Amino acid sequence: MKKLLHYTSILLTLLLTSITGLLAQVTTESTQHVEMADTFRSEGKIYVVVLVAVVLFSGFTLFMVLTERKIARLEKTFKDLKGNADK
Amino acid sequence: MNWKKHWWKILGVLLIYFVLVAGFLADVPRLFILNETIRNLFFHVAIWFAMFVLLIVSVVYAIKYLGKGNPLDDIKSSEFANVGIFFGLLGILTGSVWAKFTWGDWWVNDPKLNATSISMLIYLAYFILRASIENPQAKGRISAVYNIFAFAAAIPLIFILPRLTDSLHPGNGGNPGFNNYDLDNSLRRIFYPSILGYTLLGIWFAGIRIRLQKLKEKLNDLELNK
Repeated sequence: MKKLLHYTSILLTLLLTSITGLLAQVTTESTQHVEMADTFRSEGKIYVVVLVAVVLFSGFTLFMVLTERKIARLEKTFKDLKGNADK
Repeated sequence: MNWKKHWWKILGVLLIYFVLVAGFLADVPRLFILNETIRNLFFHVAIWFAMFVLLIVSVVYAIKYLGKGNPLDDIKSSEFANVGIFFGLLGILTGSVWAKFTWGDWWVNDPKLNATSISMLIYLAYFILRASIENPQAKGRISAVYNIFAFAAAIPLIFILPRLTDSLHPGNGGNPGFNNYDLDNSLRRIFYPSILGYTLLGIWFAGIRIRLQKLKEKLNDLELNK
């Protein structure tokens, strides 16, 4: 009985140590440093990137809105023309 | 599509503003090789999805035109294809930039890249075909049939073929797609709005071109009737 208990406890300890060892390996791998733009961000430069992108897109949107208005005006002109022609 | 309503255009613009800000400022999974470029998911991939939606709309109008012969359907079919291919070109360019920084070269001999280029070329031939035919009914019918063929070719080329063979491209050739990395949905929160935003912008763009075409036709009619 005692021998069985001893052997089981040794086996269990070995098992647990090996699993922890494996897990430890996995965790060290995931804490390996992945290069990201952390310094860049901490210096606030990321906001420059965002601002540039926003400015460019605002320019595009403005162009779209102006074109949309031009087309709406043209469509109205045609409608009026057609209205006059039908009279 | 009601071109006079503006709410969906404003929505598209706001969504892209959101993507531009959140896409750069939000936390993203920290992965090797990709590093910060994983953010290109919100631009490059979203644009391809938007392109696909636009091409679906294009082929639907092509089929409608073959059924009813309404010239407006032909205009819509060709203009949606136009904007779709423009988005495809943007997709290729943004993909090329991404490739340079992650794969080391502006272009690689990869099945996904080759397949999408072939699909683009097939659609470009669609526009050349349209330009080569004078008679509007013939132009409409022949290009509508070609549109259906081009769309039917694009699906296996872009989605199926690259997954069957070795590829560098994420989601193909045994590589995991971004689902595996986006375990806490931090990417999807920005990715899905981006697809919707670009699709809405693409529809707005196509709408402007369609209305312009209609005006040109009206002008032609007026001049002919003088």
